Amino acid sequence: MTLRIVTDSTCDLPLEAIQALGITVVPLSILFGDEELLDGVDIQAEQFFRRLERDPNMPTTAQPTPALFTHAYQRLIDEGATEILSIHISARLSGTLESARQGAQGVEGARIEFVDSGTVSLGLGTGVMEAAKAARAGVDIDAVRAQAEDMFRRTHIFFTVDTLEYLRRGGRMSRGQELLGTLLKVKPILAIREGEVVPVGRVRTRRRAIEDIIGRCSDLRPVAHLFVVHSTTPEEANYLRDRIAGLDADAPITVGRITPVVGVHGGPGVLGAGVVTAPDEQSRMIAAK
Amino acid sequence: MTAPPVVAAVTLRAAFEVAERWLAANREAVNAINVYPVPDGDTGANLLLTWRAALHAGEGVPDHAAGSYLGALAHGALLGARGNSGVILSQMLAGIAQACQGAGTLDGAHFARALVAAADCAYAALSHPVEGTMLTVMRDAARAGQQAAGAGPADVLRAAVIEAHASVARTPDLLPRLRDAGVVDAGGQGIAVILEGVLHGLTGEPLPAVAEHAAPVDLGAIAHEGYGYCTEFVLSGRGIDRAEIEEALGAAGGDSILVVGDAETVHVHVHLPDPGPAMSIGAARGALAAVKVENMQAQHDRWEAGLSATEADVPAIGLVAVARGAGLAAAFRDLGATQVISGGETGKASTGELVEAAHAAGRDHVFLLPNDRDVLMAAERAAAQEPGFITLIPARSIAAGLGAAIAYRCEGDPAAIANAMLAAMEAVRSVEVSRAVRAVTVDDVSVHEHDAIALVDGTLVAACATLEEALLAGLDRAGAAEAELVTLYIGVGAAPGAGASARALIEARFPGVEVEVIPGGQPHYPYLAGVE
Repeated sequence: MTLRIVTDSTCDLPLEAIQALGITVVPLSILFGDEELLDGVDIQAEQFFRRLERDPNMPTTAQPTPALFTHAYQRLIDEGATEILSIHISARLSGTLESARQGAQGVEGARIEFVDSGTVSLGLGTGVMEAAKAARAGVDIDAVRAQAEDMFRRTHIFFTVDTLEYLRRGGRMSRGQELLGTLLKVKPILAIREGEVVPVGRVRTRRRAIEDIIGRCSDLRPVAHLFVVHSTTPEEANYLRDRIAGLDADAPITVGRITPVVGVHGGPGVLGAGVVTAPDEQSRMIAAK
Repeated sequence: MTAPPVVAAVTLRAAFEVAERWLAANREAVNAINVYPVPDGDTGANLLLTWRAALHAGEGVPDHAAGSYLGALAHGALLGARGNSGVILSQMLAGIAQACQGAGTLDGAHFARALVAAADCAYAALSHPVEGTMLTVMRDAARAGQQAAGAGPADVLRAAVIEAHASVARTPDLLPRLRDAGVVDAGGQGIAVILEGVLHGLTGEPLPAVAEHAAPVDLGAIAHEGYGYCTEFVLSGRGIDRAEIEEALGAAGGDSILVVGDAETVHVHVHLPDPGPAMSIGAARGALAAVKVENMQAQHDRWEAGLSATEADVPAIGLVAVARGAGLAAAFRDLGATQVISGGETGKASTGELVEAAHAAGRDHVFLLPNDRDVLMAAERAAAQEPGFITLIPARSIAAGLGAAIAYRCEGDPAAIANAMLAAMEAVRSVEVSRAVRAVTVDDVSVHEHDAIALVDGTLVAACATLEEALLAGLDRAGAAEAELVTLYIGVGAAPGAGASARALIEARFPGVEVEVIPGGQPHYPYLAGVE
């Protein structure tokens, strides 16, 4: 049995990790006016944020077509895969998972299972990495799937943005309208909960937003994994990385830059951190099966 | 001298009214000696408004027993107390009422006990009583009154008044900032004036000529929103169960319910679509008096919505803020404040107004932001009156209050949100810039009349020729050089472009700090700022 892992471009994993673990990444698309660009393929973060500033068209995003998934699954089967686990961005943030299911229809030669991560960016990416490691180690698909779902259950992300305008325009923030359009400038603290972007706090300054995020991560100890994401501020990401690395010396920490598709919805100045909390009683029951 | 050996309620009432006129005549003089020469330093006004609230509450009470008249006065003062000095005065009245409870008429011994109780209650009300203030003056006056206890009420009071004046003169010896400022304590002076006024009322001795009458103040300051009837009455009886009455009124569909008092006399206030049920509830439990029913004019959508909204629709936690200035009120509302009250003419909201606003929010729990050092005590009283319903976030300035409001959430764990609001509040340094109303030396700063002065977190730090210099000096002392953000609130009547020029000045002096300018519209302070 050969198990291969598939995800999408919102996972924000560094290229080295993707290549080393043999993960297949299916790209979403960005549309600038009529021009369609494959996320991370036709356009990278650096170019994207420069273009975001200059291009008069506000970009939008689109999930991968089912055909892209069919193509990806077929190629893996040709390479010898007998089982495929397709792990994706929260179904409440994107139709990508639905596209994946459609793309799997009619594909023969492998058992294909799906996981809705309920999260995005390195929240998704961290779970995908661990699933890929387990697959490499020969763990069977049902166990990997159960472990991945358990890990996503224990995954938390907190982030702040320069402006809520991108989230509002992209429609990815359903609640928390009271944060918008205040006379006083506020820095929102956002989280991904139950698959959605929700406001969890409000502070006055960027500095305090960073402290707030660190505090929330700290409150979730003990942790098994840590990660930091940013869109346009690598120095802040490094600072945040150093601060939260201190939360647990043993927990591996990943730093990533958000992919253009996520950048369309977050805008410049996205800065966040997240944790996967240490396995609990429920995790142990799943592992024992 | 024609003072009676015992005093009945009707005589007390007349004497207190004389005291009111005397206090009104001296109001400006008392205001003028506030240590800080800020334009809204208004001890005199606060004491007067509190005294008037007390008398107003006593108006409807039948003139049978002096004890119950004093009780009604104390209740009125409790709810209508404005400013810290007003709250302390209301505590003094509470002490007087307790000492005279049940008395039909008052003799010299009553007066002596009452003054002692007034001092005791006032001291007990403060966690950190300070000598050289109205507390000391009342205590010294009470001691002198005790020594004359064998005599009639007027003699007791005369001894008290003489000693009160002497005590006022000694306050600079006890409180260094008074000595430095070259003034006596304003609150203490106010107490001496009140006692003196009552004495003149009792004895019939004429007061000195009154130069001008203070402008009448609108005491109908309790905001009435929505429709239906605002129903108020005093209920007298035995064994009155306040909680049970509140429950009954609530069950009858009542809103904004206030039931204050003790087992024999309560003051009831409720909003109902039909005043009948409130009357019936009262009449079934005692004798009604001073009944007032008002048809609340404004059709208010929010009141309707409050009655009909399901639990799922209405968020659980509200926010009440005190602020004057259209822009400041808008900023608080923007941040989610359910009620913003201005605190009437002097901007010092009373306990009653705060409690009323809290109830009008229609939530299960309310955070309260006083945003003014001089509203803090009334806010403490409001929170103490409604534990579990009102949580006080003790912001002493607009800047601190807006800082706290940033962290406000309308849903969630109240304790956690309160902690977040406190932390946010404490991270802000507040700067207040105004023109000095007189010359003084305070906090080691020498101030000339009309100087532009800056206070940082309530301490006077600079006196300059121009408002802008004072602003920059204040910001400097507040740590703007190392700060991330300065928020500037422009006062009412500022010239167009004042905000932009102030911003340019701040950015030039403190490069690296972000500046946000808000048109606050506040009176008295051309510039308010928060530094964080």
